[in-house]
Amino acid sequence: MAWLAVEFPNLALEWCSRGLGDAQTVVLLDSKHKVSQCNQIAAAQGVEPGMTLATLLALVDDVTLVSDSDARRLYGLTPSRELGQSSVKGNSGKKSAGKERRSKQTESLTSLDALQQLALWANDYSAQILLVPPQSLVIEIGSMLRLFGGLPGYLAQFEHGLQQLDYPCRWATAHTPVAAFTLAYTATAWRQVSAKSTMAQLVRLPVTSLPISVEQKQSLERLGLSQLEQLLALPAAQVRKRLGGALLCWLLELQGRLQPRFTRFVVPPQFEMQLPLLAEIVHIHGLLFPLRRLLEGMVSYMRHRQLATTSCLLSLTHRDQPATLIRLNSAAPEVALAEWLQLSQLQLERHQLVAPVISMSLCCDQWVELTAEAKDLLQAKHGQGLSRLQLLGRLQSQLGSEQLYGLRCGQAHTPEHAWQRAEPSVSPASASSVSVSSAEPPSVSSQETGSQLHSSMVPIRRPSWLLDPAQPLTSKNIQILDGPERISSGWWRWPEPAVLRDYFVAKDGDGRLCWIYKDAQGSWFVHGWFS
Amino acid sequence: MGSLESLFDSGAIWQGRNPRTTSECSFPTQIAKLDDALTGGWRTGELIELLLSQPGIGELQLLLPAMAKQASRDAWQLWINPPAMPYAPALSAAGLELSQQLIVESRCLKKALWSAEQALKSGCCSCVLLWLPDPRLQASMTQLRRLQLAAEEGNALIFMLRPQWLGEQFTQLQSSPAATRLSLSLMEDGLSVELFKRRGSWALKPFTVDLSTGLQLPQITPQSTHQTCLQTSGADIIQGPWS
Repeated sequence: MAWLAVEFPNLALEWCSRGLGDAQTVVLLDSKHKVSQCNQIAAAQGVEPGMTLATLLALVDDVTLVSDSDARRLYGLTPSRELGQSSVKGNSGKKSAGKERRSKQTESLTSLDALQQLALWANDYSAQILLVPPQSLVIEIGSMLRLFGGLPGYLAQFEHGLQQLDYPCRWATAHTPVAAFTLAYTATAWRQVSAKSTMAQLVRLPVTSLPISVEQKQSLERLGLSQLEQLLALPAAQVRKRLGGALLCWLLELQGRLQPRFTRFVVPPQFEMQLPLLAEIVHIHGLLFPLRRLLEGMVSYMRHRQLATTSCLLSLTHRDQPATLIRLNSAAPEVALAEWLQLSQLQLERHQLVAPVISMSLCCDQWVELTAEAKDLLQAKHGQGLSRLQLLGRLQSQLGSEQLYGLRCGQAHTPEHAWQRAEPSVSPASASSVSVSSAEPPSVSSQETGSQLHSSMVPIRRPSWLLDPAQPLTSKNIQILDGPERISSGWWRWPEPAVLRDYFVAKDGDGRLCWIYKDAQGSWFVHGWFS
Repeated sequence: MGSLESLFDSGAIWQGRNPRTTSECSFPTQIAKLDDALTGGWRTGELIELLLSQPGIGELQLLLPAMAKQASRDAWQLWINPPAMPYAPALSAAGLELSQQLIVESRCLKKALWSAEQALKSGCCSCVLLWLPDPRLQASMTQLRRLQLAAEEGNALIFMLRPQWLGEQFTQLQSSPAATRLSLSLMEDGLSVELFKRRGSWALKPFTVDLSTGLQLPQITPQSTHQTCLQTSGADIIQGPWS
């Protein structure tokens, strides 16, 4: 067995200050409003974990404060009333102004959220992931080594992935999950997985650096045990008696004699990702950059499960108003990030923000299996080489789907029912079967007029433009060229009015060829143009 | 002399008398006179502007054969803001693939032009017929130029159909970046076509094409019986048992 543990220091802080740039001082407060994590800028100004809020404000004058959402639950405050995230700005540059205070509220931010997202990312490298809250992951790598070309190959790829992820982290490998976690926790860059050498490395660790409680460390010191080696040399019964069962369990887990009690990460059946925004976003265009991160997450989620989706739900949280929900749609199941970015940009342009956005989340739970599309290898590609569905998706995003439609032939005899609006489709098979069946001339009762006799042998003549609805014939100067052709239908739908019309091809005053008809009441209408 | 010929061959020297030979990207209109004038037919990748005296004068008969020829390509054919409904049975009879037809209705000029441009650029659209949502709104030179470039990129047919007259203004006199411009109006003996701008050659004098042959109408003999038909009431329509 081989395991790899990654520890992300200051994960919660890093998670919420992403994309903010390095120039800002960001501090994470714990439940007692004391500093729990701070970034490097804050540390350079003298901020330390454990510092009180008052001391912090005395040290720095422009700081963004983030309180961990766990704090809210402890205080029992309702989310709407509570000061979730506050930004205290002192504008030392201006003479007149004193300290301007501004409070923000965001949706809950937990380091567990961040850890879940990182576990999704780690799913690229292994199927079995253990979560060690608040900021560590343990990954099973033994079964993956063959796939990645041995341990050196695996570690090289993993390191490359970590660099792209761009979070500060330290990691180590070992033969058991707890051993790997301990090595990562103590910042030991250990890259071997054999039990013997790993244990030899482990036993040299001082007890003060181990991931055990402060009380346990104190009782170890009282016994004069300074190194892990000395502790391991003790008989198990003695350890249990003097130091408690918990420490014994930990020791057994460390050596792999007991299963670790870490939670196993299970990939959620639906994708949901939340992103608190440290700066309020006022313009819809400002959402695109953070949205890219959300979409990246969704696309990677889909790609690894061989899924695609046609729609996802973007929810924008405002401070005092109910959240804005925007459904992002695609005409075809889509998995490409570039396509989703383009679609969401087009769809967002149609919206206006009702209030500044303080947090956004993306949720998707409707999936379709990803299927490979057969593409023509020899056909020359023109333009951007989009598929028909992709183009349709773009047009629908910008114009709204109600402004786009296709055509198909209807099954009825009456001219206005011989065609139908149809959902735009890209499968020629289904549409052509309809058109073939209805391309046959509709049954028309012919009538004998004068010396002309029309039989069904005469090819059916239909105008290429149809006026829908038919317009009253106003022009008096009409020259009839052909007809009549009687169309009678719908009498069985009594009491709806039946259709009983005599159609003529005629030339109107301007010389246009029109398709006109006379109804049962003797009124004349223009129904189309032969164009 | 040899160097001059190479210049001729490369098309660097334009000779008004010898228009370009038929390119493989041209789609015949199946009307001999017009095909000659257009040197082979409608050409993809260039903006073609048709100025109509009114809608329904026979413009589709000039365009449908080209569209039918492109039906084999798996691509959309866009109708943006058509003045009436393209009638599916007639299109089907003309050889068009109905599943490829996509009708776009947008009252906004910008969005209509945007749709046309996107479709042309996409490479999966073989033909765009564009009517401006409101003829009084004018597309700017830049917008038309963009269409022209998009058509070149996507190698598609683009027809822009506009009225001949905008109030007092004669649209033919407005300049346009369109590569080919025609003016269509109805005459006694058929459709008068004036090709007043074309690439690589002179403008042509108006000529008339007869479109009634395509409709296979019987010989037009003004018959008194038909004329009276209009005046008589509906009494001569046999009433069925249904009414």
